[in-house]
Amino acid sequence: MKIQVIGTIALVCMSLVGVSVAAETAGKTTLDNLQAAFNGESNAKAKYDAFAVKADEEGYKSVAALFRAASASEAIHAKKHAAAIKKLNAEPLATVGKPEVKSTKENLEAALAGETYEKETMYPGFIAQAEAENNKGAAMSFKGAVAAEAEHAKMYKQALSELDAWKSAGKEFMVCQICGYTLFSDPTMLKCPVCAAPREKFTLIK
Amino acid sequence: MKKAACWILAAVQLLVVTGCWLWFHTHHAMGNLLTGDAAGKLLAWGRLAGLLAVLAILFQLMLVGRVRWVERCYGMDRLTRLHHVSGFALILLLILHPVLVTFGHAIQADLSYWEQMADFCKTWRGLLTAVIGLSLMIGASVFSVLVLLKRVRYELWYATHLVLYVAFGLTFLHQVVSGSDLTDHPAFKFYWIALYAFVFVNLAVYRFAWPLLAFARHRFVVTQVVPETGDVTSVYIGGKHLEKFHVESGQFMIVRFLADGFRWEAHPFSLSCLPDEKHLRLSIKRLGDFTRRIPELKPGTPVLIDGPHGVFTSRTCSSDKVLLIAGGIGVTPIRSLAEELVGVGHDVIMIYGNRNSETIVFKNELDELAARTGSKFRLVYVMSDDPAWPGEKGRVDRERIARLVPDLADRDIYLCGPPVMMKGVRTALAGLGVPARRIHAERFAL
Repeated sequence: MKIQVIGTIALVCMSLVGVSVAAETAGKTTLDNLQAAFNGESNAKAKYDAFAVKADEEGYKSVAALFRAASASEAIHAKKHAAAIKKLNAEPLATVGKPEVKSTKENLEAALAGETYEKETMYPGFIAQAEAENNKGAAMSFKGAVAAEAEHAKMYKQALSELDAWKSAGKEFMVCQICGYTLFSDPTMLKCPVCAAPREKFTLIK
Repeated sequence: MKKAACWILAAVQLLVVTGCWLWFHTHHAMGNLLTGDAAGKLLAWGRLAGLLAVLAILFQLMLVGRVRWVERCYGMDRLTRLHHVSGFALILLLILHPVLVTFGHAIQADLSYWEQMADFCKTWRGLLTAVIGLSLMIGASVFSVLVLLKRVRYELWYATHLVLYVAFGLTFLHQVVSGSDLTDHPAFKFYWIALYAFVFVNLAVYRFAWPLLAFARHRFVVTQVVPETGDVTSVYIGGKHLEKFHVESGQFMIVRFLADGFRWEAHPFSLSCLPDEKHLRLSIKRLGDFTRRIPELKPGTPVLIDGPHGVFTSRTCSSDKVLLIAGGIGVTPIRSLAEELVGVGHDVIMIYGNRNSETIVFKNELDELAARTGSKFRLVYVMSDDPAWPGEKGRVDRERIARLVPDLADRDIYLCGPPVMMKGVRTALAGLGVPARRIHAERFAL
């Protein structure tokens, strides 16, 4: 009896989640998605800037550098989305709230959750919608963001697993100024794997 | 068989390059660029144009690099014509590559075309030299076409081609640093470098090392300079171990006389008599500045010889009956072929067209050969502008060929003369039903 009740509740919950996701995307256009992405990236930038300050305060120099690099990357994605919005004859709109800053460990966990959601849920849906509308420019803008978000997620995961080692300064990051792709500083890297911009187009963040 | 192997080798390179390009651009970090946005498409197609342009340049170098194993299959005159024709496609690719790629990156970076171009030159490593190299290449290629159409001086054409080598060198850094994303893939990078190495080793060996080695071995030197007619001079070249210098009747050599006023130019000349172990003979008509000075050559002048080249030889003959048709100075390879073919017992008819009797080169030699060999060698002179000539008068045309050579269908035909005459004779032969495979021709103007 107990099992039946739990099963029924689980089924209802799953249905509710499905309905809520469907409701979230139903009726949304690529322009709506671009605005959502622009808003998300603008807030992410503000959030990572604040997280960087906190990481510096707590002495996690390399984590602070990572947040600064991710912030620079999100700013470029926001700019790309804004350009795509303008191509649809609309104005980019963002409401940037005050970020909730906790400990660096918690901030890293929050950042990882955010990036994971973006790369696994938000952007794939946006890309599918843009491709369905044949808006190739928007689709590429979303794809460019996904490539960078995936790298950010990997870096956050690594930082969380070796947090103590990230206390010292030393980790350096490179951010492509054309597409926002982010990677650990690599002297052998000649050009961006995403947009083919040369090494000279990367900003080094320490 | 060898010809097919050469084509297959070239086709495989085309397939490998386009295949890698296709794989890379359909499996890109940003998805399939070929179905993506405008920037992705422009970059993808622009990169293909760039890759094919380099492939075409390497192909061009193989065509005119005097690479013996290629040249033996096709003959240098055919390779040179293919070089000219494929040059047009190359110019198109050279223009398309920077235009498409610049537009692609300009859209990505939200810049104008010229802002992007300025950014390339300022920030992108290897791009400034590539832009200079590409501009030189486009300029020199267009100029080469003009040279070809207007028949501008050989020296000018040669200088233009030297510029092309420098220009190609300037673009190399761009190719390996930022030019193509394909070079990121270790296997493709290895393939690309191997392709370059293959072409440049062939060039180094056949274009440069071979003539120097031949000179070191044979010590070619001018032994005699003999006037033939008013404007044709024969140059006899001697040397050591000439019995080991393998050359066939009908072939030509690219010759550089190492004397003041001659050493900076190399020109192709045909052998004008059957080679023996003591000397080679070149017979050169006064046609330009260089050839005008040939009578001034002094015995003892060292000679750098690149060759022999050409497939205008008895090896391609499929019958024991042969018709030789020569026009003007085109008689030089025909003269040596006549001697060889008659010597091995072929039934030879030779029709030799000239403007007037004074311009007949080797008349005594040919008459002597005809007298010596009897019915095996029938020689007919045809004068186009000599009313006093007692023999055949007019052009070497369809009616004349049919009348003089009743068993034309049984014969292989060797043809060498000025381009206009060759075109006319080819048309006449086609009209008489001679299949193209039986016509062996050499354009002696490269």
